[in-house]
Amino acid sequence: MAVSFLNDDFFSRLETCALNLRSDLRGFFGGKHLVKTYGQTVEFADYREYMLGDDIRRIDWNLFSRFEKYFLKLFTDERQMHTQIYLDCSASMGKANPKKGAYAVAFAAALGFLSVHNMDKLSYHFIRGAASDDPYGVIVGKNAFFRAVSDFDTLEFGSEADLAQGILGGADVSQGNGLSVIISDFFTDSDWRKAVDYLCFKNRQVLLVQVLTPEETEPLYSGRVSLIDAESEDVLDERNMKVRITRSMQQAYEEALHDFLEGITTFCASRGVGYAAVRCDVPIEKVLFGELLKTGLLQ
Amino acid sequence: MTLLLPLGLLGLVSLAALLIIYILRPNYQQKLVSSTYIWKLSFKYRKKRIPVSKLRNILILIFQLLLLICLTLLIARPALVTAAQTSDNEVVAIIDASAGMRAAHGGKSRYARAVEEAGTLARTTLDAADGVFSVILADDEAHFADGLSRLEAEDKDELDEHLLALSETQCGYGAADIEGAAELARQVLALNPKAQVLLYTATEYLDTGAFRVVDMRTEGEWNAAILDAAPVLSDNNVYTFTVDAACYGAARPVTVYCTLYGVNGNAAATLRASKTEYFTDLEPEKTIEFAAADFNGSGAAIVSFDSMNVAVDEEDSFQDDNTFNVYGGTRPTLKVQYASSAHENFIWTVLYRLRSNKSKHWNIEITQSSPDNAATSGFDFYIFEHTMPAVLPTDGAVLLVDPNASPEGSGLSLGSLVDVSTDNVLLTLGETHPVTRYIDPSFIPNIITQYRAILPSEGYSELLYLNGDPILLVRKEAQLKAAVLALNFELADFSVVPAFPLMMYNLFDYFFPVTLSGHAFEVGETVTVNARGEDLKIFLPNSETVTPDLLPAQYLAQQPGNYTVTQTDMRGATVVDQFYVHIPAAESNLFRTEERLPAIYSDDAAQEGVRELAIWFACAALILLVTEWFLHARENL
Repeated sequence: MAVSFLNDDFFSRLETCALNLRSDLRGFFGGKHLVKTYGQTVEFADYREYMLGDDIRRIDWNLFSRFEKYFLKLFTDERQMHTQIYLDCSASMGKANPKKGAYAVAFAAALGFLSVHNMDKLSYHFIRGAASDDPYGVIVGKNAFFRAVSDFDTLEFGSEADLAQGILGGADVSQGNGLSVIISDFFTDSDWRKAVDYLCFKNRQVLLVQVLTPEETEPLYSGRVSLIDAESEDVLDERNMKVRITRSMQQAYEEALHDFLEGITTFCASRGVGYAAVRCDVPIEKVLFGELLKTGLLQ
Repeated sequence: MTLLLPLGLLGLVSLAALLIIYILRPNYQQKLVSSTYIWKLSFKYRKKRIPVSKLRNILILIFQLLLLICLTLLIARPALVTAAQTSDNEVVAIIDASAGMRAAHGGKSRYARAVEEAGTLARTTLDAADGVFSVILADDEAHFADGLSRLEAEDKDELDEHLLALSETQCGYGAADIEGAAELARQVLALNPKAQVLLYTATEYLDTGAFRVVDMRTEGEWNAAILDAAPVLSDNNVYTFTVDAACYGAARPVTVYCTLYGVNGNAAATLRASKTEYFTDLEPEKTIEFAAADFNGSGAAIVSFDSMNVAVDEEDSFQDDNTFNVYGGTRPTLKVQYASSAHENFIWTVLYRLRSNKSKHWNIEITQSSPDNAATSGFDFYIFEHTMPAVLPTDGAVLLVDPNASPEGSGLSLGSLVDVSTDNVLLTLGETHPVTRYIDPSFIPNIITQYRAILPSEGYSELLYLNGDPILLVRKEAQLKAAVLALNFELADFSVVPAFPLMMYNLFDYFFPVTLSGHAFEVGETVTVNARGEDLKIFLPNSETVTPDLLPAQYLAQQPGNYTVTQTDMRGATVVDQFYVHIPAAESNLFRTEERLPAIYSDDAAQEGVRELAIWFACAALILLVTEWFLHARENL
């Protein structure tokens, strides 16, 4: 991959941030995420009446002296989450515009860094064809993370990617224990919505990141153009198309793209799924500290 | 239509090149994209259009081919041959009607002979069935002679009448407008490039170009002339006189007479002198100097004179340049009275500087007096400061500085004295007026502590305001010329800034403009005439009178001789000024040579009677280019 955003400066700027996940997630013991359940931390949460079987050492004797009733002190609980990042490695992500692929990789690395920085577990799933490749396993800690990230520069984007098959057919995602991020351009016939529904069913917090190039949002080429699809095998591939691009055609494209993005937004809103459409000509820091802060995922 | 450069048709090869480019050009450019998914979706959104793109493509190709054809023809120089419709017997006769053509020998002037010869040629020309004849008179502004603008053979009956009128037309006194005549000839040649152009002149041209020059000089012509004369004032204020005299066409002695009038302040004193010089062809022009000792008098130094007449008394071929008068030797006197109860050096200084600066035109006499002894008559310009006279003088212009009262007849209404804080002084100009020319209030310091309020007074123009009150007013009528400055120089620093002398100079020029812009002019020059009085009249040498409507007037001098300008000043006296208009020095040389005549044919094509169509083809190419560009622009919509 010729273009890369990954360097020490990039990661050092992320150190001040943290992922802000839903509090109804279950997670694992340890970690830094506050959850709804009560636990063993030192931060006071609430009182409740003593019930048979409760540890009598947790009775608040001061309250007993005042009310002559037994009350227990409850404390907040903090959990470790598991962040799963699904990266679309199809040719459409990097063949036509290498910067798009680099941008997507940088986004994946940034979210991964935020996870390990908050003592969460992390796993990367590169979706190629109908398979989901998990080359690094579960990453815990920054050393393991940077080992994995150092390998990102050799990442290749090619062929096709079926997001639905890649996610549904991949390793079992456990119930409600973290964040799932899908990074793609979503320019695919694959029913990725089914995969999102599956992740929601698994009670995972889901974030869709759509990476677009400026040429995709505002195509400037005109005249008689043979559009060769980045994922096509050869010139005769049926996905390729010959079209005379006029001003009205450009307007139709803009409308189609607008409605397509609106469709994703509506779908995500109906499922309570986070969604961010980013242009790869916008500095990645601006997206992280702007768009994601706005969605509340980052704090 | 014909092609002046048929080789230009080789440009048609470009048509084949264009067609080849159309055939070989790739139909589609390839573009690797990730967004074919969206492009496919966009087909649903595309609005249906009438399929005109193929027609448009064909039209673009057609327009491009037409454009190339147009440009090729443009290179080949298409033209229309027009000569077939024109006459072979057209003649344009240009008659030089300058002063030099007035030279006469054997009782007939050059001009008269030119008219005769042109008449003979006109008759011969119009004898032919397709004959066309024109006469252009090249005097100070070239024009066709009455009725002789492309007179055709069928109107031959009118010729004698027009030629008679032409012979009665007077030759001019100035230079010939040969350039204007050539322009008129060009107009004829534009209609008929075969027309022959003749120039009847006495000037020899080294390069006659397309003209056929008919020389109107004859044997025995000669001319003695006074080219210029001027007094020279030496450093010790003594006059000598230089005269530029000439004799052309003859080697002989010529006597120059010089007569001075009104010498040394004595109006009746007249001095005469004469000198004889021998002129040759090698040295036809000489400068002769007359000193006091040359005149028939006591030989006393000449310190002033009224006018001078210089003449040669010779029976030469051209008499109009034998005399030259010089006027303006004595400057008119202007009497100025400065009356003040507390005389200011500021006003004195300005008056003396004014006297020095205006000494070329005026002899200014300045008198100082106190208010008790101040005269109210007998002066041309009165300045009253602080104490005003009971009655305003009516025989001269008046400047009232810091008036304490309104003189009778002034029409002024004075208010009280107004004290001003130096922090609160705002000077602004009123209407645009010659008296406030070059005065900028922002350069006047605001150290003014008191001024006299002046109430609205009829007839006065308000020129300068202090905090909204007028402090400088002017009125100029036939019998009342007055200016008011409502400042006390002891309580205002207006007098120490440049605005004050500027105002005084402007005021002086406004009330006493110089009557004439000079005293000697050539025929064809413009004289600027102005008046300090009323009823200005200009008496011409031919006894006609001109009364200018608006002053200053511009008068074009067209006749040589003495001009008298009269006006009535405020005292009712008639003021007389004179100036002299002489023949241009170049016209006195009856045998002069010039370099070349102006071109009258635009190019070869015009000579052959061919009208080029390049401009039309260029326009067509431009239209095709714009249309093709428009279709191209629509192609991507």
